[in-house]
Amino acid sequence: MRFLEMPDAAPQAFGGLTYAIKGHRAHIRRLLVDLQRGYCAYSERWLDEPLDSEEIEHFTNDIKGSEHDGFFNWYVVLRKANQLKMGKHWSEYQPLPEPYTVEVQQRLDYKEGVFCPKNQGDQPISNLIEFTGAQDYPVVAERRNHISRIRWYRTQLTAEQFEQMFREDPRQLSFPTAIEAELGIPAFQLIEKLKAPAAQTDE
Amino acid sequence: MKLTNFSIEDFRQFKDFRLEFTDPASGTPLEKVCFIGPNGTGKSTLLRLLAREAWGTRRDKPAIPGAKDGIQLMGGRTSTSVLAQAISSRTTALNADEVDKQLVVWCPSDTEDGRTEFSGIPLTSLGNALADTTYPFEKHVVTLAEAKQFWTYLVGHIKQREQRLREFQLQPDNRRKAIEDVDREFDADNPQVLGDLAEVWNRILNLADLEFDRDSVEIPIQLTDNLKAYVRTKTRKTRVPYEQLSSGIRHYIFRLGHIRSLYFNRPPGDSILLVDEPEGSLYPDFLYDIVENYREVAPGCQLFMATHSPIVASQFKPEERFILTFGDDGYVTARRGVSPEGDDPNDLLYKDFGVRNLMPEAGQKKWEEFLELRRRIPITPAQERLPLVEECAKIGYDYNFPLNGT
Repeated sequence: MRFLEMPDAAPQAFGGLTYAIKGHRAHIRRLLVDLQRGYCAYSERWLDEPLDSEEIEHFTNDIKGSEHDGFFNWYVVLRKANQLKMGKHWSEYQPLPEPYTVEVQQRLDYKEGVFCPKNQGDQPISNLIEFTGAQDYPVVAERRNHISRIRWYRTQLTAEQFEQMFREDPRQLSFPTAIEAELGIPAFQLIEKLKAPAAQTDE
Repeated sequence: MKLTNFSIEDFRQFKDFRLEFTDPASGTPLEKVCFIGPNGTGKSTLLRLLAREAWGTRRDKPAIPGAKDGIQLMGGRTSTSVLAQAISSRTTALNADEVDKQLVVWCPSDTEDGRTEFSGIPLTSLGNALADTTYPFEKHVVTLAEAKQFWTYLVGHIKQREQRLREFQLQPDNRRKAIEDVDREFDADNPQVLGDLAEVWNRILNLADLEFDRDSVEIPIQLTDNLKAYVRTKTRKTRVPYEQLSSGIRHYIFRLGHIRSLYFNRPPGDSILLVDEPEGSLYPDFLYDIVENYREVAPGCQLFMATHSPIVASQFKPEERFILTFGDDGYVTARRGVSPEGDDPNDLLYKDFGVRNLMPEAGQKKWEEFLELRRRIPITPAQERLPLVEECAKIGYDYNFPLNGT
């Protein structure tokens, strides 16, 4: 869930951009895809489906397009990850933390295939995990199969070939938190190193 | 009354056929029952036969297509086999009179009902509602062709409520209270008719960015007036005429609304609701709460459904699921389900529907390709493996194939 975090430079990057102005949306989306390195903020899967260039997920849907809306509330997510969140209203998952902060990342953990709070009693983080669907069954099933495949590919390739595989197909670096935790592969570093091009969209 | 078992001695594809609608562990009648099975195994026929049984001694029983009432036609020849003799059932009811008084609602599939032209608000009037003496009639067929009856009931409920409110306001104790307090007190025990309908409809409509438009409702005042109530888009608040709604949504909301109108103000109690193919023309997302939605509009009912949808079937417990298949002798047999309630519909397809292969042919070929690559990669020289692994990784990712078990 690392892609929930907004870098310090985000306020400048999004300066003057407003969701309410339709003409800004494609630009907002491009910036978000770039910040998220081409991966879905909720599921951490590569954003490989053709998406509407204006499609932006609002973490708190109720403030969408209002004066309270802003970059801290915007993400790019896969439609199916978003569908898991549909039908969940943020008010039913209170208290929720501010998802874009570094502090949230410090409170999050991933153990034995499960996203969880570092501190078992950290209810806001538990709520965040549930609200974004990171532990919903379809996401977990996909993540589990992906990790088992990556684990096997590694046994079949040299280190150089293995990295080459990721370079050729950035989708294979989907679920980087799980890849790091379960396989000990520095997936986030690799993402930065390989500088994966922005996700394919119909823009 | 609840149906506890049902037998067919000899009728078409059924011979010495018997179903027990009781919980195998407790022996109590099942609250809900689901029939699944390939086309031709008689799910709809079974529902119709059950509806006929629940219709009691009434003569206007739902017809069985191709069979004259009482006399079955076989291959163009008239057989003397009489439906009533071929079928028997046991219920928890004490006598025929009790069966006759039971509320029974039969909803045929929308493919049977689909020929009905729909042209907006059903034509009725306050006069029709006041003249309608059929309510509370106990046996109902819910189809779009009967939408006028549904709308007439709605008007009737609204006017009855208005009348009860006037009487309540005039009670000596209430005359001394503020009108707002009296109305609030009345509302607490008497739900708003259209508020109730809006709640039922919005659960469905909201999934399609639609909602019941309570702001523009016009309640009939003159005898010739009709109830005017519409659906609008939720975001832009523009009216969507009923005839322009997708046929799946239109059928669904009119079915649920009609059923609700039959249960409105009726104390929860035994009744039988039979629904054929509730999934008709609905997007899968609309199906996940469908059983709950039917049960909510018909509190206390014993629900019988026939479906081809694993999403619908997964909302039943395995003992409530009856799977019809053809036996070696060409007659239909039934067994109970094994998939647990709420199981992944794909698992249900495999375990209970008996679908041979979940993957269409193209996917099956990719699976075989994936297996072949898995076999070849370890025996290929290391320096030549990369393209094979990349191909394997591409297929594995596209189809989310599991590695274990290969």
